[in-house]
Amino acid sequence: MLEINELSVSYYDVETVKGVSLSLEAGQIAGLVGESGCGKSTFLRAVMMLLDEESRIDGGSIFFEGQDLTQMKEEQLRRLRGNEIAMVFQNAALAGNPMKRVRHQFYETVASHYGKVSKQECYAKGEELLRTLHFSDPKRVMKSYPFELSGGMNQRVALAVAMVNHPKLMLADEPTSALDVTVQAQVVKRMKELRDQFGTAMLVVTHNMGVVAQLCDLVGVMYGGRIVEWGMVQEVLEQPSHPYTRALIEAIPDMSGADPKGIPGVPPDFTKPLPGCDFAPRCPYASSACQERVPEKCTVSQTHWVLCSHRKGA
Amino acid sequence: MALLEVNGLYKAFTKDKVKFAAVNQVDLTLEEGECLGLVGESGCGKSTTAQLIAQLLKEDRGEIWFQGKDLRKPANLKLLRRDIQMIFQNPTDSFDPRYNLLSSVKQGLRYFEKCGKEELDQRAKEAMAFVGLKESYYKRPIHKMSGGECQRAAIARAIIASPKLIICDEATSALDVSVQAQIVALLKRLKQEKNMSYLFITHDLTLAASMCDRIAVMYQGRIVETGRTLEIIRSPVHPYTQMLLSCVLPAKVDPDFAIADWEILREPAEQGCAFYPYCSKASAQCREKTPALKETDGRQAACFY
Repeated sequence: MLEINELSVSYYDVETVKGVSLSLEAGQIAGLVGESGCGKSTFLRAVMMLLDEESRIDGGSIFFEGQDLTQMKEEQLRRLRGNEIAMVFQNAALAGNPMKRVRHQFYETVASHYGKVSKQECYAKGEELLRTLHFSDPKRVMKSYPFELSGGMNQRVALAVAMVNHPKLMLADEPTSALDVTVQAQVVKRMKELRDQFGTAMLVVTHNMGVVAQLCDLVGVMYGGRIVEWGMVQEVLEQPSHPYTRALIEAIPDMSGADPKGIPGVPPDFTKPLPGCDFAPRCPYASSACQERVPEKCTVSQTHWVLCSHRKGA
Repeated sequence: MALLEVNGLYKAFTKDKVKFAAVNQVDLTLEEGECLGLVGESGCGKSTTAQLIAQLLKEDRGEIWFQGKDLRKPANLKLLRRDIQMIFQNPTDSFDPRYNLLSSVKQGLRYFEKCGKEELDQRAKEAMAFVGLKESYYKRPIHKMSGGECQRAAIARAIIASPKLIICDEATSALDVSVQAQIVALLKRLKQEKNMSYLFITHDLTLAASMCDRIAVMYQGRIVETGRTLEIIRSPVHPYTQMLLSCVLPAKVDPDFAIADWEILREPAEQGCAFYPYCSKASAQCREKTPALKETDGRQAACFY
């Protein structure tokens, strides 16, 4: 359904996404994790072909249902967005039109897909979605302007608007980060229901491993603009094969009260690209070979691969 | 004598012409060298409590005693300001962008002590070395720093006057987990080496588990349960705490784990226990009276059951 091949994106001529490939079937949810500035959000925007003027796609292809999005005209893309492909942005408070009430955002999204539709019907649909996303008073929210709602509320409104046309693919950038744990759990549940009901495939950028474990089927770990490990969630979380993935998992505090471990060193600087593995300067296993060239992909299992030379023979 | 003792703290705000209690009858004690966590959802009154304790907000009712002195008296407050420092959520916003890092850190001491230029310089450099900021950072402007570096600097500024208590208001929430872990390690080292006490405000229960000795769970301005962190996490008594803990998504694939279906959280009850509309144990009694904190086995919970 979605197939991305060797996608590269640069921002002010600095390469920030370096040849990322992944594929997603209908009904699959994939998570992308990594620290800030690893290229997750840029990558997600590129998939939607929503890059700003300073960025450009250097190479690669994005096939969505057999069509290459990178070759499409703006007009065709516009028809896909919001209908077949929906996106939830990180800063949801800025995503809605500030001049229009929430209910209008629903109407606009539905109308752009179906043409003439009854407003009342759209409002009813929206209200129902808001209710399932745990709003206590959907009627009032429908009449509100985005600025009257809190960050978490806007985030859920954005999710509801994205869901209203039952898109085939949903791209979500940190959809639960601004939410309380209680609401977060319900939003995750609701996203799964949407997948089960309509077979929506999702690509979710998050930094929350709990969300990954409970929501996603697949997970990709991004570091320095590359996916360094990819696999089924269980495989990656239980047998992390990249030293970075291991370090990332150890950094998460858990309920046992054990000390979380930090990762020494600093994240890579895109303006000073390294010839070898980007994690080598922080990696306890790094050899001279790691510093000289980018390691090749090593398969761990049929569905699990890692970009680290230390997997070989291990 | 406890380091900090808060009795019956109350603060109301007015929203849409309706008065509501943001902090309602909060009692807290904090011993020296202890880390007390204040956890709960957004809007439960955690930050307001912290601001009242630091006297950034004036309370409506209640007492705040710090080392046996009444913190509400202006004369005492002036003396005690240096003993209570705060670290805020947004690291870059808590610095003046016109200053470089070293002078920002110096500000932490300048108001409290008359010390010479050299001593000030010396102590600022010591504090920065303690938090792991190298010499190359001294002249760096704030906008050229990452969130983690800024938060280290905020800690340096907080400890330069050798305070007794640091109030951390979501101090690591804006940071990546890998950086968060470094800051947690730094705060713990500070606690061990300098016997620092913390009031640690967070919405992240897993973080509270690794950082705090005791936690107080807040709901709608009231403390509903307090006790030793690991005991509460292992066996929460109050239904609200139980719900909160069940909502934490474990970072492990567990086929047995299912997200509990909670009723849509409507407005909290105005009378009686604020949690009763969602509580499975609720009875007529809960509807009428607000339960007080009751102690059993070193644990306090505000629940009739």
